[in-house]
Parts: sequence; structure tokens; C-alpha cells
Amino acid sequence: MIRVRHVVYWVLSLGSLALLGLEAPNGALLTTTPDRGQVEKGTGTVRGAPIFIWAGGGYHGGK
Amino acid sequence: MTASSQTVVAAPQRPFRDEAQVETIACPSCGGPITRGAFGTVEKIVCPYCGSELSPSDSGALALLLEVRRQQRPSALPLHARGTLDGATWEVVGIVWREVTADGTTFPWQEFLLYNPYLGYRFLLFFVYDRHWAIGRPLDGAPEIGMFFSRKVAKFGGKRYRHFQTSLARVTYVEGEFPWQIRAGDQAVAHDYVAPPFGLSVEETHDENGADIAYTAMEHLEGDAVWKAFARSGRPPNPVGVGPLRPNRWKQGAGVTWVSCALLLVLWVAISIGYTASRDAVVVFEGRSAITEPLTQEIDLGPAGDVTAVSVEFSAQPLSNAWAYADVLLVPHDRDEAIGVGVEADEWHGVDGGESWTEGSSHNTVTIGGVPTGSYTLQITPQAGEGTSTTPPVGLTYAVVIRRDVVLARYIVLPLLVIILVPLLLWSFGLMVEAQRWKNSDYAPSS
Repeated sequence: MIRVRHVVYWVLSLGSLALLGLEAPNGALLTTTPDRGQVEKGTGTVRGAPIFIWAGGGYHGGK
Repeated sequence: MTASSQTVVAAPQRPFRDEAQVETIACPSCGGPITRGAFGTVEKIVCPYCGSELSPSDSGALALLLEVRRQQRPSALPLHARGTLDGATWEVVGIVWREVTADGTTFPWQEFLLYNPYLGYRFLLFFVYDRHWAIGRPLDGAPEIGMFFSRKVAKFGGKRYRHFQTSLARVTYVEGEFPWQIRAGDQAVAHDYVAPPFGLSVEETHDENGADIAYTAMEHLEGDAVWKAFARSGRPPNPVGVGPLRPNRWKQGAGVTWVSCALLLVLWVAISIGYTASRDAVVVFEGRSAITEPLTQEIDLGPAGDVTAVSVEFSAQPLSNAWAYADVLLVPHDRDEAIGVGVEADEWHGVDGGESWTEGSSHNTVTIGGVPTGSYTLQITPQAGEGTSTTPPVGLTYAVVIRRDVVLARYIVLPLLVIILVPLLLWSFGLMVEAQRWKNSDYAPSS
């Protein structure tokens, strides 16, 4: 006999399987959320490459 | 034989006499009016008012067998109440109160003898101690009593009933009409077998003429169904606990649950294989430097137009009561929005109260998802310090490994947990209900 608990079970299971099949390659939901924003070139270089700093101020990581 | 030659007897529309035409006979002891319901099959009538035991004679008069002076007791259903169960009308023609005593505790119940002139007798049971209800009918045959894994069982009609308890049941109160001899004080050895919501009761009585064995098939009834059947006002008494016959709702549909579990596991294996096969965890950067030196390099996270998951593995050596941290910045070549993430490693140890302790790790991995593919400029800015200072330890180096298209085990484990844990949870709930049911049986853990 099909019961509400079976429907809930299938929805939860198929939902988590859909997460595995569709979202896992992107990995956006179950991973650390990174900082995102614009950067600008700061003064100085590292081995010839420019140093980037977050644009607009604010805190972006750092210990 | 043709259909037209068969004699069809239609079921009477009014199997009981009209209420207004009920004949009453006065109790020869107390004079109380006694209403007859079951007629020819009755062997004993117990006056509901004084408890005197009477015997119906052929003339319809009542002969006094035993004069008793006791008060009428209120039962869950009154004598002569009528109700409809399974599409048939039944009248309460007799009420018996019985009880068993186990471990010093008395467990009383009330039995209502139901009568329908075309269907015979049924027994409606109200277990006073836990307020559960059951309906019983005489068994058409005898069950086969045997053993199953050291547990006594009764088999009947293709169903196996597990022995629940054996007890000495005493009659404590009687009123109404009965097709057998009964009086307060009668005792019977009752063997109860259960296969919820069904049960079998085997009752043995012994007297000077020998032993008599009665088999009764039982089935759980909800109190609401009884209340509705007998048109009682208000609500039935709330049941307590599980009861011997109440269905275990966590076990209902268990087959569907486990078949679903098996199918979902097959689906999970297939999707997991497909997912891991599509991930190659390519190393896009691997670098090592002194902790004071930033690192920078162009990296490729794959053809543009997609998104991927990127892992950043960070380690610092030698790390002793110190911390190291790296700001990892990914600056895309074709967009404005950069991505940054911090990753820290720390290692602490000491001696406290004579016991040494360590915590932290010189390695750490952070995974970020939803990273657009394409070309990036990677910039790693390290920091380190000893204790609370920001002065890097001398000789400390750090290493960073960055991979794209990594396999994220958490996405594989999550559906597995859902698929496995839900049935296990339902199963354990079912076990808990059964444990509660059987704690009142002869097989309770303390018995």
C-alpha cells in the first residue's frame, strides 16, 4: 500500500539523486562559498606579474 | 438448475423487534425489568440490577438460580445498546468484566456479548487498562499449536500467530444473557496469540465434567469505530500504549519501502558511476615557496562556457604552534568578477596536566563550486605567524595544489544516506513499537 511516507521518501531520494546527477559537476551548493567581486591592479609585481587587490575596499579574506 | 428455480430468501430489513414492543420480565429477586434479546440459545441470565442468576424456562418465566445483592456497574457500553459493525446490526445482550493479575498488577477488561439473530454472537472487548478495543468471533475450527524458533505459535487459516501471554482470567462482574453458564468468580486459562491486527484466544476451563476449550478469533478495533457504530456521544477513551493487537503503522507498507530502497540504490550506483567517470580532477596548479613569497601564474580551468568545482589544497611545513594562511585569488581573463577564497592550516601542541595534546593540521583543503571555466590569473598571498603574532616562523614554506573537475564525495554520500537511513529509521520505529507491545507479554525483557 502506497503511503504518504513512501511519497516523501521517493521525493527526498530522487531529489538527492538529482543533486548528484545534475548539480554535483558544478558543485555550487555543497561547497564553500568564495568571495566574488571586482579586483584592480595594485602597486608592485610578483615575479613580473601585477598584484591584484579587491576593488572598492571592504574585507575580502585575510588572517 | 435454473436461476428462476432457486428460492431466494431476502434478508429481513428489520432483524430486531421494534423498541416499543420489547417484552420485559421482572427479576424474581429484585423486581427489576429484564429485557430478553437472544431467546432460545440463552442458558443464563444475570439481572443487571441485582446480579441474581436466573435461568429461562420453557414458559418464558425466569427461575432464580442464585440470589445476589450487588449494584449495577457502569460499563463502556450499556446493556442492550445496538450498533452496526461490518454492515450488520448487533445488540449488547451480555456484559462480562474479567481481569488477569501479572506481577502484582491487575489488568481488567470488559467483554460485551453482541448478538444478531442471523449471525450469532460476537465479542466486543474493551481493555480497561490501556483502552484498546477488539472484536472477536468464535473460530471455525482449531488452530495448530507449534513452535517457531523456540517461540510458541498458533497457525490458522494460513496465518501464524505468535504466543503473547498465558494468564488466568477471572470473571469479576456479569450482567445480561449468555448462551453458556457463567458467574462471577469463574476462571479460565487464556492463551493469547497475536499477529496484529489479528489475534487468537484459546481459553481452557476445567470443571468436574472435564475441560472445555474455546477458540476465538480477534481483530483490533479503533475506539472511534466503536463509538461511531454504537452512536455514542463524545469521544472514546484515549488508548494508552500499543496494545497486543493494534497495527504497527511503521510496519505497514514496509515491503514497498524496501523495494523502493533497492531500486533507488541501483539508481544511485548508476548515477554515481556516471558522475565520477566524468570527473578527472586535473591539476591546474602546483607550487611551493617560502611563506613570505606570493605566487602567481596563469591557469586554465577548461573550455569557457561551463562551470566546475575547484579544490585548493594548502600545506605549510614545518608548522609547530603556528598558523599559515593563504589568500587564493582567481582573476578571470574574460570577465570582471574575480573569485577569492582563504585557506588556513595550523598546528598546536603542548602539555596540560601532565598529558600532551595536539590539535590542528598542517594540511587543509577548501573546495569551491560554481566556478566558471576559462583562463585565470592565479594569485596566492600567504601569511603566517607563531602563536598570536603575525611574524612568520623562520624557514616555513608552503605548498598549494589546485585541481579542477574534482569529485565531491558529499554529493555521492548525501543520496546514499537518504536512501538507506529513511528505511532504517522506519524499521527502527517499528521495532520500538513492537518492543513497547511485547513488554506487557510473557516475553518482556525482564520476564
